Amino acid sequence: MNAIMSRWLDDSRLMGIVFLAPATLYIVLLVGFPFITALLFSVSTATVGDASFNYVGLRNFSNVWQTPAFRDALVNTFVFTVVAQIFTIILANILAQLLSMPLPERRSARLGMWLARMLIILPWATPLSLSVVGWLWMYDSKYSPIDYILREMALLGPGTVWGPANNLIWLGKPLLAKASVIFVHVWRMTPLATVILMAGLSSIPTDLLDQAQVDGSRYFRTLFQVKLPLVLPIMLISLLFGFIFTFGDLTVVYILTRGGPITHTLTLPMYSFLVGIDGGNLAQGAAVSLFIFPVLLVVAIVLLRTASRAEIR
Amino acid sequence: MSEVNLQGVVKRFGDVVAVAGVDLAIESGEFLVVLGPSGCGKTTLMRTIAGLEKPEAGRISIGARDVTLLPPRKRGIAMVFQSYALYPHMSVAGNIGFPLKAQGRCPNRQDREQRVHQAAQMVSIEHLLDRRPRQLSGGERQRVAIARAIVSEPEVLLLDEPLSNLDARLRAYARDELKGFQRKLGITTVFVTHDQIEAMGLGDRIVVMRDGLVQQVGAPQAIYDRPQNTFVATFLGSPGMNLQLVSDQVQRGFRPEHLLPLEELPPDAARELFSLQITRVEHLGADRLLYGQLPDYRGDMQLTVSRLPGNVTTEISPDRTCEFGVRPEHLHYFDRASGERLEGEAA
Repeated sequence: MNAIMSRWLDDSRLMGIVFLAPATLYIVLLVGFPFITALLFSVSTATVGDASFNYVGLRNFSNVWQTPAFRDALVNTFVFTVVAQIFTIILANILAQLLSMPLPERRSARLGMWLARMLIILPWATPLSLSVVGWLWMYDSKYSPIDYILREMALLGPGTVWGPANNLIWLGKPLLAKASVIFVHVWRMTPLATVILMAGLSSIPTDLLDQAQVDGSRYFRTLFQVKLPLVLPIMLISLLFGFIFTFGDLTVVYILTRGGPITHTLTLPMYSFLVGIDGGNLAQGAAVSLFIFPVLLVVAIVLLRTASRAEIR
Repeated sequence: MSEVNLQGVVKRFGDVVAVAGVDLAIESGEFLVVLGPSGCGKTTLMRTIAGLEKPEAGRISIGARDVTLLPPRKRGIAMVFQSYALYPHMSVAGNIGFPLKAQGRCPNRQDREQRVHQAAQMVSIEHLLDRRPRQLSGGERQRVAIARAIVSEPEVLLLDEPLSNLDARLRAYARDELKGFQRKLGITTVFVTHDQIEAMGLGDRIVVMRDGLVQQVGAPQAIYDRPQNTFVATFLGSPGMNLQLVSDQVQRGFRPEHLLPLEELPPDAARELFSLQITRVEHLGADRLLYGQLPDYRGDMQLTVSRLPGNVTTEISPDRTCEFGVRPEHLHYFDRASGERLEGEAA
């Protein structure tokens, strides 16, 4: 018995298959199967009530392409993703700089830094749906605490700059709604980007930073000419991560606006959901969602290639 | 070119005292080597001179200026790190030009390029200016680091074991070259190393450090010939000085190369006799090392080494007791408890 066991355990091909099996199974069942199904649906007339397969070629794709709502969703998805990444990377850089500052040799300082770092990561650790519900309240058309603060600062309300209304109605106006969605994405992605950047910053050899000091370089020159160029590959990785997360995200828009007002915050995942699940047209919904695929594929390839080259020195 | 003065410099890291009160006067244009085993505080001392560490106590002045509280960029120093710390994302020219840009002392681009060229020429790397650091060999990197250090014409040049990353053959060559630059530029230089051969070969003067304290300062040969205490005596030389207890209070020291077989000493000269029980003979090509046991005044055996130059042909084989002698002028006496040198024939 033992002899057989140990022969199996020594068989590297067998053990290779055994170790790979769970991951393979996971990918096949939870990624491969839905993906193939979506491919099949997208060239059929399937609906929620009738999943029978009638091949219609690329008709779903051309129909979807001609829908104005789809065009809005496509543009919004790119705009949200790109703008959110720009703000995320700027904020994350500032935070990472602050959080990796040298500390005085005091326990209170270390405790405070630990607390700050933990609080920073919190938005990433909270389940997204829950935190977005929180944001829904923040943006409430009547009880928004943001509006309250603005009113207290005499910026909102009758006779003020942004008055005379008592509320801004964040999610009800096209530009404000767009900004609100983007803000939540930034709030959500900044922690991860910060942590990734901190790891990058801490991998810069201290000799280099000492050398910069000896060479006469001050804070901003060292930051822009030494530190940032060195963490650039790592920064790119965090950017691409953010891109993938934001581009394919349904939760934020679904909870905040469901694409509204009209189609001003509609994104591809949201539109796909509205058409395929809410509207029952599985075939068109699948076609919409497949527009996301090539974009994410390209980003994923760039990401993996960057990751394999991302090392300092 | 400026003199550097340290007065009572103390640097602690938490409970660890890295530099425990160092007074040192470095003369203008001097090549000073700080020598000591690892952890003796020599690198910390240099970083304190550079302004990368703030001393807890003491004063540092460069030229007539008190720089104790000044940041590195206001001290007029340049430093070469052990790792060379080249900016990997910049070309060689970018690396060398960085201090000029950072210090804003050379705003004109053409002037800057010219000075980068001159510095590169000084260390003969003009042909490498467009390369990246990762495309360079160890020796080339070291030259780039030196060019970057001298381009801003600092008053003081600080070198932290810059030769230790080079292979042995290149090191001897680089040592010679380094000394050449320093002479040509006449720049006050502080060089940190744990390698006594480097120290002896390069230094106008050597500072021997241990546990954050200066043990002895002086010209290399003077330190070698008259070590102030047993630490300096045994740290310098390879192998270091032999020590033999001759009484409760006194240790006697003699260098391996001075412990010679009786027949190698002039027969009429005064000499002290030692019977050495040989345990091992090592042939090092140019010379021979004899390891042996020598009794102290209580009869306890101590490891003692003799170094015979190649022209000494006396046949010596292990497991025999041979008669050796040392001339009296080559004997040193140290206090047993403190290890301090005793003057005169205290024994």
